Amino acid sequence: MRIERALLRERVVQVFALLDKVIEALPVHSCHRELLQAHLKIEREQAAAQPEMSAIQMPLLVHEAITGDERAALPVAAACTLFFLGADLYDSILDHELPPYWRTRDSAEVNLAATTLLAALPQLSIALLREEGTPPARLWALAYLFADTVLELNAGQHEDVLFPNLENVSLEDSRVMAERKSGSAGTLLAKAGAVLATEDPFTIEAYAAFGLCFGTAKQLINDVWDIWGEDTSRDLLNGKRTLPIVHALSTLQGEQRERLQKLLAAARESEEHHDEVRALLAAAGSVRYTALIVWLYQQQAQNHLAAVSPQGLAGREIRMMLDEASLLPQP
Amino acid sequence: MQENIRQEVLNALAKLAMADPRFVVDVFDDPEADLNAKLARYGFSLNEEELEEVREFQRRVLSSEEGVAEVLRYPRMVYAFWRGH
Repeated sequence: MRIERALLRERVVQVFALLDKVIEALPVHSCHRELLQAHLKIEREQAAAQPEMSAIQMPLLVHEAITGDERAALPVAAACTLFFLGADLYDSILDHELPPYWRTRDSAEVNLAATTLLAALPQLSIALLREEGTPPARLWALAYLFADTVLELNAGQHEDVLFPNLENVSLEDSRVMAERKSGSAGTLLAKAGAVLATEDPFTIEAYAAFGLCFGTAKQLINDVWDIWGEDTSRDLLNGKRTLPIVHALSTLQGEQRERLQKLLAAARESEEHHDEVRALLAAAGSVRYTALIVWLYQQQAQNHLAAVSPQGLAGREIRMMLDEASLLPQP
Repeated sequence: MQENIRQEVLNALAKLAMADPRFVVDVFDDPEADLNAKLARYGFSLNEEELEEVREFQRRVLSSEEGVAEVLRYPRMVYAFWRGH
């Protein structure tokens, strides 16, 4: 059974309508506003085509699973979406893979837009909750959560940038980096919905732990898709030390390991070596290994959900999102 | 809603997978081998429901092995395969 796409799209429409309002009201020069609006236009089209975007869906679903209502969480979902758009733009800058619109702009403009999206606008979106009578302590908890997530995410991104130049990156290093980089964002999406919905620390922490596992599983899936999904792998071009690559480096020995190291260096220069790298990773069982780690995160996320038993349609949707966070063919 | 596999078992499996990645090959590669005995050798004691979950994971991994081979020839096709479309 799949989630009703019309429902997902309706949430996308509502959240982007709120983002329009937030950006329209900004007390800034029109050129900065127009820059943000142009980015929003592109992202809105993408979100309409792929409405599963968890930055929109997850905070609304968690709030509804706890309180029975999702509408009250729209400002939180808007804040999470702005955060995601900023983080995604930064990720594109770091990985030298800017979307077409930004390639013609000055790099300073891209940085400025990403900073505004990531650091300023989520807070302004959260501030909308004041008008709804949300208590100051809860607003502060949300503001702190966003700041804490930027810190954790940036620390993970920093490791991601440094690892290609290090000799011995361990499996644990790579796993923890994925948790910092993407598990932190997953934590934000689920925890923000819970923080607005309840003061119960057990419920909030259970959803936070669920989000960490869900976000990390999705990152590891993306790491596999990056290598096998297209002819050219961005991660191989950027020399990334994602889990499948570190696994192969950890398990292959002797000549095979040396060959992989040489191929990884060559793969940074040209895509013609990417298939050879893929062949060695497959021979090392790195896809299977990553599938196991993703499955373990998925099972742990399931346990954290079991602790709070999310109810109703929202609970079912959250479980379906989790079921899809897998590298294995659907049963 | 219940836990499929106890949290402490999942944590121990994750810890072992990080410390000894070859255990994945040793435990999951042979569909004919006694999975319970293999896991017991690493110190795991799973109940029947937990074992069935792990068996289901093993079945899905082994059934996707063909996909790994195809990956090398037709990356785009298998991209769709992995996504379950």
